[in-house]
Amino acid sequence: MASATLDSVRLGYPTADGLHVAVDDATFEVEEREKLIVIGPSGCGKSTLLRAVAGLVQPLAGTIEIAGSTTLRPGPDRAVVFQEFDQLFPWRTVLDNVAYPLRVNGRGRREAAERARAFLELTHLDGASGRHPHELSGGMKQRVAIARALALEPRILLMDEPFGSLDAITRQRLQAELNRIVAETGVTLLFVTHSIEEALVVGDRVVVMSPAPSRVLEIVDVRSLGGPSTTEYSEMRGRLRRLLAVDREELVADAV
Amino acid sequence: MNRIRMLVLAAALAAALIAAAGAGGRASVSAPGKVTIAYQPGIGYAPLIVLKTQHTLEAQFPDTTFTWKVLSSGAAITSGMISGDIQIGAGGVGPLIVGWASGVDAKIVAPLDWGDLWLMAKDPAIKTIADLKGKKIAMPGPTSIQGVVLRKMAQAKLGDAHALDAGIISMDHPIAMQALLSGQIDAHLTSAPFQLQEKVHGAHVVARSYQYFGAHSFLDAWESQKLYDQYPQFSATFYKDVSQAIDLIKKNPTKVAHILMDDSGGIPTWRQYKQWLASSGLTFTLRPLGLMRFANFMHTINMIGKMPSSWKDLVLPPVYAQKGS
Amino acid sequence: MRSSAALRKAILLALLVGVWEAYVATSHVDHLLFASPWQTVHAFAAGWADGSLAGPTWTTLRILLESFGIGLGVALGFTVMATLSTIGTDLLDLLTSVFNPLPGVVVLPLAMLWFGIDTSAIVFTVAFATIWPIAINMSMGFKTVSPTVVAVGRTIGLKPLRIVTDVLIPAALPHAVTGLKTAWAFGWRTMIASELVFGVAGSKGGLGNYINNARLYFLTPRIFAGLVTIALLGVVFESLFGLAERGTVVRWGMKHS
Repeated sequence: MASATLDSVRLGYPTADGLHVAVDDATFEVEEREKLIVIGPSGCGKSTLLRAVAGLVQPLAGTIEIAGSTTLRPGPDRAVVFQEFDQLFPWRTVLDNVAYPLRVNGRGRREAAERARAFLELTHLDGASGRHPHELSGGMKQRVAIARALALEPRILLMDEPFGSLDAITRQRLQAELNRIVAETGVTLLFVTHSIEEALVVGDRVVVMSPAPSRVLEIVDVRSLGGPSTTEYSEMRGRLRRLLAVDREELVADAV
Repeated sequence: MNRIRMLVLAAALAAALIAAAGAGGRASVSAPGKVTIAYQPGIGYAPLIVLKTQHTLEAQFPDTTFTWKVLSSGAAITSGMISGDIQIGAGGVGPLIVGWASGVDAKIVAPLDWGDLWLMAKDPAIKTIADLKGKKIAMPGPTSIQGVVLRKMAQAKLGDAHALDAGIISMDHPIAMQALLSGQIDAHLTSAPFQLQEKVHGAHVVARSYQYFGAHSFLDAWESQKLYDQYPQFSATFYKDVSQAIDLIKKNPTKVAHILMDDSGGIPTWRQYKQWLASSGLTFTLRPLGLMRFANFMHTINMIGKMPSSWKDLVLPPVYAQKGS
Repeated sequence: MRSSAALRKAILLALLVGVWEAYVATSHVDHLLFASPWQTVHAFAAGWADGSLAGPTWTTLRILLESFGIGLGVALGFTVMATLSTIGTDLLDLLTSVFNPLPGVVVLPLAMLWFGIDTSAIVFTVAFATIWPIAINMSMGFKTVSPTVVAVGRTIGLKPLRIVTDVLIPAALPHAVTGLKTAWAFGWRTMIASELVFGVAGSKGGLGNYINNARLYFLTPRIFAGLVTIALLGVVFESLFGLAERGTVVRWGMKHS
């Protein structure tokens, strides 16, 4: 059963020189409870793809079907974790940042607060619930954003390069934490990145996009790979590198 | 012994010489180098306008630069005298007495006239003082002679001198006249010729100051005691000049009417001015009248903190000769 | 650290007052031109004790608050219009560039023609002075809201109206506060200047009128006392705004300078 089905999705936006097509044809499915990575070179429209699934932009052509519906509006069933640190509301405390979206979606005050606390515990942030976002480190802010998104019990958790602005060590830590949380909650994850390493650490399957106007080059399964020291891991990494270096386009720098 | 006597003699001689030189010095400088004379709009200042246009003072004191100014209120003129901008100011007895009580150095060097001040209204529904409650009444200011007159009227008719204070709006006469005729204000306590012009344009007289104070002084020319002490001859000459100007107004009103017309750029006509000189309630005279009556009233309603002991406290020596009150 | 700066300023202030007193005592300046610190303090204390300063102060504040409220309302209207449409933005930019440089008082004679010789003329004038700083700053605030935070609002399911109230307005608060502070300063100055120009005598009148009256009666210490009152009120409002800022934009780490 697919959580989301993308069929010949075409995405673009108007520029001064006419219509720029970022994604020419994206066709794939996001299976329930899987962690699907979308990876590609800069400008291939992977973020736009994520935003289309989120309902923030509309496709030029093709359909995105979620729970039987193809008209997508933004909503908590596809909660998003963005890359930017300013995705939290600075005027609310950490707790309230997580609880407020719950109240908006119908939960009572107390219930929302309790649930928020639970998810902050899940991300090991319960000690910070009374603070304001500006008092947190970048990594902590992203964890709050994750807690916020998860607390909404989304059908799909969408993440747009959420660890891209963090230093290497924090990034690794958060990748591990994300894996743990997703395993605990069983949520479906659609994760965009430009880092091969990140795709291999986090993903079950990886959708590799070509440069713009992009299409799906290949979808590889990376869930049964061994650890980073194994040969199958190195082979897969090499394969992905070659796919992403198609036409001598900019070699995507590995994250680490 | 001899030596000491010689020294004392020398010292006495020196002192005498210095004194003589000093006195001689004062006497030889007969007028200030710069004199600014300021007055306000209105034909009550006619004697000054006559002096201005005939360049009387300029001829008498060729070494002095004379500047003539028209300001919008007695308060502005008194301020100018305090700051030294104005040497001779002219205005109503209101600012004079308030100033005197506060220690302002300005006294009457030459009275100009007596004047009946009329309270004008355009709306026919305003017939008595009582009708003015809550209405807007324009005048040069709360300390102007009109301000005092209004309070006297309020006390007499409403039992409370300050009953109409909330409606006082400070405006100079020409602007207030426009405002009255265009309906922006309800009443205007004013003076000649504005009260006559307003009457012609449909306003009516609600009350007159003479009804409450009897005939009284209206405008005077002021000078500081300090300046008088320095230049007594200048001041005495000024007094005489005003006297002659007043005589001219009485003997040759046609000529003065022409002077006023020319001074105001041709409008209104000299015939109009002549009519106003005759009928506006102004009496040109050097005799100060009713100063104590005003001071008394102002003291009882707490407009001033101290009372002059006599009208002479308010004037300079040239005026002492008059039968003042 | 803060207290040593305050201490230094206090000492400086005492020195300046000392110089002031010395000047008045030694220069024999006309007491009608210049009041000494002692006379000023005396007039100030007496004015508050007998209520003659309290009334005008309250009148000035009341009219200022009323005008400020109106200016705020109009500014909000302009801001919404500017945020929602390009024409709105153009209109606001145009009006602001024409009107903002005008000193508020300049509008008073016109206001007196339109509204009569009434307090409403002052209200109009002061409100007019407050509209432009608020409108510019607020619309700037709305325009510079991070698109990410708006996207978040959409993805958690907020309807457009709630995005305005729950996301845009708090996000624009730092700019709004700047606008309010500036507008208050303009409004205050315009208020006092208007009262002085307006010159309505009588028992209802504000601080500007109090000062004007003191001038007419040659009570120079009262003029000084009125000025001191105005200055003190300015300090009080600065602190109030500072407090408000500390409780909000500073607490949220949003204070931009």
